[in-house]
Amino acid sequence: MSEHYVADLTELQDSGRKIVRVGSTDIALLLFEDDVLAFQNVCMHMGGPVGEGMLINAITAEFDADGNYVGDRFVEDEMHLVCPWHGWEYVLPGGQCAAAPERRLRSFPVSVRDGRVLVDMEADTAISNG
Amino acid sequence: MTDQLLNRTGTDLINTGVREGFNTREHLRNAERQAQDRGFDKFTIVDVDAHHYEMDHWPAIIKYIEDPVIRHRAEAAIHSSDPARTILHNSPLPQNMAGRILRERYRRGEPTDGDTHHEVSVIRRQMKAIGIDYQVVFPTPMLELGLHPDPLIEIAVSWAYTRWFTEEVLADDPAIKTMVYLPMNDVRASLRTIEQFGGKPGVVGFMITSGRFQAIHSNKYVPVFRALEERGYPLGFHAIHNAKERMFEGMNRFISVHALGFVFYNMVHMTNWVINGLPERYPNLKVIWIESGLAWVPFLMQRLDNEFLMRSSEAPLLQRRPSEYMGEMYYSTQPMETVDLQTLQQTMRMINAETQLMFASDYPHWDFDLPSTVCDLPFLSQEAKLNILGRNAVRLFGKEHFDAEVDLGTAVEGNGRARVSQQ
Repeated sequence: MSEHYVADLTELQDSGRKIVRVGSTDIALLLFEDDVLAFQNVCMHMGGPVGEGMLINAITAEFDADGNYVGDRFVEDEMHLVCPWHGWEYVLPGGQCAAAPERRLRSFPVSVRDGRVLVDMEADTAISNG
Repeated sequence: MTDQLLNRTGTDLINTGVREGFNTREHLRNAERQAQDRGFDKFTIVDVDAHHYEMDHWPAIIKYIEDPVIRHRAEAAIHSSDPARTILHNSPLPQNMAGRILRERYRRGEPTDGDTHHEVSVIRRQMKAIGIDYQVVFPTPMLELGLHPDPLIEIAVSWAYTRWFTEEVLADDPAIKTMVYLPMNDVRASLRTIEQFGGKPGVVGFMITSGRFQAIHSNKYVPVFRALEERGYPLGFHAIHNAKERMFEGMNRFISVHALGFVFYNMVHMTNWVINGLPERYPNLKVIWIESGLAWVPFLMQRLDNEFLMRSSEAPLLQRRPSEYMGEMYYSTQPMETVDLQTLQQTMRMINAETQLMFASDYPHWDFDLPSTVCDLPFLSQEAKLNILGRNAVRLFGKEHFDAEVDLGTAVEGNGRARVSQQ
């Protein structure tokens, strides 16, 4: 375990997220449904600063009882993080790529102790590519 | 609902792709790291297709419109919510994915470096961040002017734009280049454009926007192609998409229109160009196919070769198969289809990528590529990477357009693996 103190929880409660650097790794901290998430701030597509992108609900197509398409709708219980470079979308909290779920953002376990946010850098969960 | 969600998650503070205000260099800092990691400063990278948003400078451009009535109309449009809409022929579809591509929303507030022209400031930042030494810059909404129902608008606006860009922007930085817009709905205007802007600093060629319906092999264009061939300027066909294209009227999504549109028009022009023997008639006119990606080329090669072998009587000027002519033309990389690397490798073999392919970023558009898109490909040789990233463009445009000491490099460092998206 290699825990690093990266932020106070109050910072995230104020702004929703924070970009920090541990060693040579940029990490995006996101406060999501009372949990703190930590992703490497590198999109799996071309390396964009994914953690700084829009947070927006997933979109689904809606049909009526007769099978007619009636429009697109937001999915209330599925939030996506969108890379601001090209629009690759990742499902929160896990960081799976919305268009290719077998791929996932590199993420790190987070602990919050005494209001301090700690990230375990040795326990990353997926290989990303910068 | 969207705004509520954005506020709830606190993204107002960091939803710009930057930390404090929009700045291209900061937006692209991960690209800058890629450039440093891969040693892009050790060799020359030429970006043969990038863009800027000329509508940010609409008043500066339209002052050069020579027709007073059209200039008046353009001036009146300044006060509308979308200055371009009332005079250009635009698509209503959202390039920025309903705000997901953040730079389009925030770039207008980007600061200028001192007295440097705003466009020069921004282009220098994007070049520095991405690792580009020379960048060929094209306009954005004006690429649709070839579809305008009034050819006088195409003539007037393209002329004004080119005067502004060559006189007020290109003059400030020899690393920024352009291929000049030819208003091909009017041959005399196109010839005047070649006469006026040929030889101007930064002009490395001329460009036809592919969204237009007149046959490219029409006899009326003979003087244009002769003029370009005599002067040694390459001719680019820059693709566009067009939601109003008759066959696309049933397409309800940007992704659909864009995926087909950017190859559709170039496929039509390429077919006419080859089947009507223009490569035989203008053997020294170099042709570049821009911003259509690459996957369409092997498809068209196979289709045309197969039919040519049966119906060669309909293509009497051809001495060889269509694919052989196509393999001698030039292509820009972006948006390079990288999902299936084996297919991409075959594509590069068929188009003779080592000598005919040129890197293009298309930055800042929504589907831009970085040089790593090329240099991380596992099947390309070092020589091929250097050629695609810079040498092919220097050879095509001519060394006289580049620094005398242009460093074409001896090694390219990929990151040892293809991007995750390519696996």
